[in-house]
Amino acid sequence: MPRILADVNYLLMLINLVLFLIQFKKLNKAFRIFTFYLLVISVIQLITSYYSRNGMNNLFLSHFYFFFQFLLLSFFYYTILTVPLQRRFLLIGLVICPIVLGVQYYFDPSLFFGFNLFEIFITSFLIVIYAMFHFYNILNESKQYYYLNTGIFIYIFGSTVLFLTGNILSTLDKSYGRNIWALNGILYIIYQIYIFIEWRRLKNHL
Amino acid sequence: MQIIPNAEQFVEVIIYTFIAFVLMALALLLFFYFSRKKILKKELENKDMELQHQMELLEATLETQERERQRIARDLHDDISSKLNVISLNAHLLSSNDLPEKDFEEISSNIILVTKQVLENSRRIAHDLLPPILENFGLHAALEELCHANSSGELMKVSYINPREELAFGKIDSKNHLHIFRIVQELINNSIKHGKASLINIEVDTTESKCQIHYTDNGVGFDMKESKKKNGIGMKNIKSRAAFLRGKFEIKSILNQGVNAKLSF
Repeated sequence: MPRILADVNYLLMLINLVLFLIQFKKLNKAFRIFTFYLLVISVIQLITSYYSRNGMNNLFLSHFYFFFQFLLLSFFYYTILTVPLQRRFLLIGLVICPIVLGVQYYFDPSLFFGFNLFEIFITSFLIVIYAMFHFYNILNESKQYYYLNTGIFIYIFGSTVLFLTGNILSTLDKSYGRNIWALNGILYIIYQIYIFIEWRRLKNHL
Repeated sequence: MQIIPNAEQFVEVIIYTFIAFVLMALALLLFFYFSRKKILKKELENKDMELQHQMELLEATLETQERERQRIARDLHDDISSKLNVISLNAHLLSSNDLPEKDFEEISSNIILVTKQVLENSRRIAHDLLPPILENFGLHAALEELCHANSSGELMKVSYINPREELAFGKIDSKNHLHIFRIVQELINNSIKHGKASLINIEVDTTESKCQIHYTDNGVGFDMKESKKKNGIGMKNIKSRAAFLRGKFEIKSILNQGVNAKLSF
């Protein structure tokens, strides 16, 4: 990813994080979980960036990224989804997914040092499904968490495809990989803008 | 660290990407399917509610009609038939041959008197049914007369303000004038009968495209929450007439602080 794009990414991410943290006391449970998600993801991103700037292999951090993203966004959706069937589906996912991944790493620890395609696929896809659940729930209703949900939906699905190709990209010449990671950077900016819009709406209601 | 990607890795990526897209497409299809169902269900519910509302209005209209018929029947029976009976009886007496002159005069003057009363009553009944002034001179004049008829000195004051006079209602279909008249009439009746008001204000405020009638009284008012539960026949009647006008009728009231109503169409 071009350096400037990466810097814009980090900046937007940190701005959003600070904005949510400032309002933290007034936020409801769902937004508090989301703030926590932003915090954890930011920390992982910053560590990733530190590794990459020092020329170290940072791919193993992707597992934390995907897993925590899955875990925290699942908690987030668990608080905002209202239909019992959807919540049960989410709970089953929340239990099954870590077990399956745990078993996978137990039998093949080497997966830890590259992108684990199954991990990317399952953790992202479940979140996309939850986002769809929420879209379904707010049909004909007030558009609660609408921007946040849209942002999550677009970013997670888009980035999943890019991350799936990650193992190949990491073996290509750096200049090719860079262009493709720029796509992810742009997608991430869009995501952060959606988060910001949600924050603006939220602030007006507080 | 440059590793040549092997064929296995390529295939794996393609398979995962493929599965991701197919499942995504499937999820989207399911999403659209269920969304459509949900939206249709909601629309159906709205239609049902609309239908229910219309049924209620229709019921109110029919009920009002029945009451009106009862009232007319009673009026005809009490004020016309009974008096015509008196006339008929007297006329029969006149036809007997050996009637003294004095009785003859008394009976005929009685007939004239009662006939006059019958005429007066039948005119009143007709007037109640459809005020001729409304047809002959228009809504403004009819409302003015209505307010005047309901005022009685200091005890009861009904003021009517309409700066544009007949022009104010120029744009409104004359078929609808009766609805407006009846709504105001019903409001005044309610204020007098239930509200025990002594001061009523009616203000007509019109622009090119809109007409608003503000109605206030100083009566005892009513509790909004309580009245919602038992919408009286009068109120239902007003609402159905407002619906005919494609207008909006709002009424606000606080106990002991009078009534404030607004009709806009």
